[in-house]
Amino acid sequence: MLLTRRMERAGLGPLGFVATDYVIAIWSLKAAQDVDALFAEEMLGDDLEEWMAESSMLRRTFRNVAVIAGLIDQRVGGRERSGREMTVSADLIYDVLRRHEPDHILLRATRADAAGGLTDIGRLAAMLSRVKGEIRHRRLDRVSPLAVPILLEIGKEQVYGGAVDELLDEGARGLIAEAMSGPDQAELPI
Amino acid sequence: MTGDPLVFARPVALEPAGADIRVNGVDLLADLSGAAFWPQQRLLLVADLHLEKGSSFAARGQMLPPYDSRETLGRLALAADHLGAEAVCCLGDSFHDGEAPARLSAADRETLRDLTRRYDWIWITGNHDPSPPEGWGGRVASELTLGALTLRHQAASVAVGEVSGHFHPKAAVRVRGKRVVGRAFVSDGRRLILPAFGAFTGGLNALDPAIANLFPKSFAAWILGRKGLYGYAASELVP
Repeated sequence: MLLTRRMERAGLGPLGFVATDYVIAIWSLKAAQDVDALFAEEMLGDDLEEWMAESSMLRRTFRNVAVIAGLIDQRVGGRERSGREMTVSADLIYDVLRRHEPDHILLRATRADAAGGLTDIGRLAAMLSRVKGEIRHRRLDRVSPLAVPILLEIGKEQVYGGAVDELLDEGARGLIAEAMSGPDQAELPI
Repeated sequence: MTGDPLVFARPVALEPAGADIRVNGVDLLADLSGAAFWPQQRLLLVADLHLEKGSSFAARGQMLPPYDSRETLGRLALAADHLGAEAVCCLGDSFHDGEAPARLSAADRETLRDLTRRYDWIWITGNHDPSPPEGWGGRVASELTLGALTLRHQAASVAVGEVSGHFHPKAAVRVRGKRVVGRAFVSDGRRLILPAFGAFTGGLNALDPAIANLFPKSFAAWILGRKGLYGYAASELVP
């Protein structure tokens, strides 16, 4: 998550990541050139907190916390709600609470749960200082066998942020004029 | 942050936060906030504020944080100020239910009163608020025709020059195998449907027949990202 944060600030447009005990995979719109900079120790700086709050991992944790707290019902109107609907409403609540009551007990519970889960800042700091200058960056012309299992995991974590805009911008092909059938279509720019 | 060793350039600036949409010959500006602005009339159009939706759910036992009204009104004040509006028209479903106005907090009441005093304010009635309560300032109408445009809550089955809300449209596209979804303005140049402006409002995919059938030929959707609006033809959208 910190890596994707860095990549986002570097304008690489990270789209998602998967991590296991041994491997981390991140895919992005643009290729990372300076891997050493991405693993610089300063990555534990200011934006750690902010990035944590934005991450989809925390959002999912919040959803679980909110369900346990009874804030969100899994069952509305007698039918089971789909996972997508649940995510949306938990996300909205999460954003509003963060803005207006950042110290809300559910947010504190979320941070506590998440801290015990994927993140251990102390070990991370030690790891970063250990690998400094020791990173070997290889650009392979095919998928490495060790990377295959993690490629199969792709899609579990989502990256929130500017990449959404980059994707929307990239996909827009200016076909709007064709879709407009207004009475003054002749005046529309071609 | 000091001492940042990264040398990569910042992301290139994207389009400015707005898109021009021409509806029945009238140039409107679709704003990133989800509001539309009619520069000639200095009129700001917003749909589906759903004020006090949070407390409405809370009353039924589903607890939601109570800040949705503050959030919505704050964004509305910001949009009106930033676009230089002189009038504001809320296209219905401004209050989530009949008792919603009574549940507004004192601070939110004051914000709303202040807004209706500062701007020429029009409440269009919607299905959630068929009769907006008295005493909030502003005029109440079921629909309003201004020049070439008619403003109403729910799109009529056939209409030219109409701006409405009601459906809370959103649209999804697939780029590089990823599905990106967001609230959206939907128009075919004859009519325009605004996204919901309220804080806790979900959405209906623009490809749903309830929306798509209102545009017999085709339509375009302007998806709200974080930094800008992105226009797509209906044929490029995914469910």
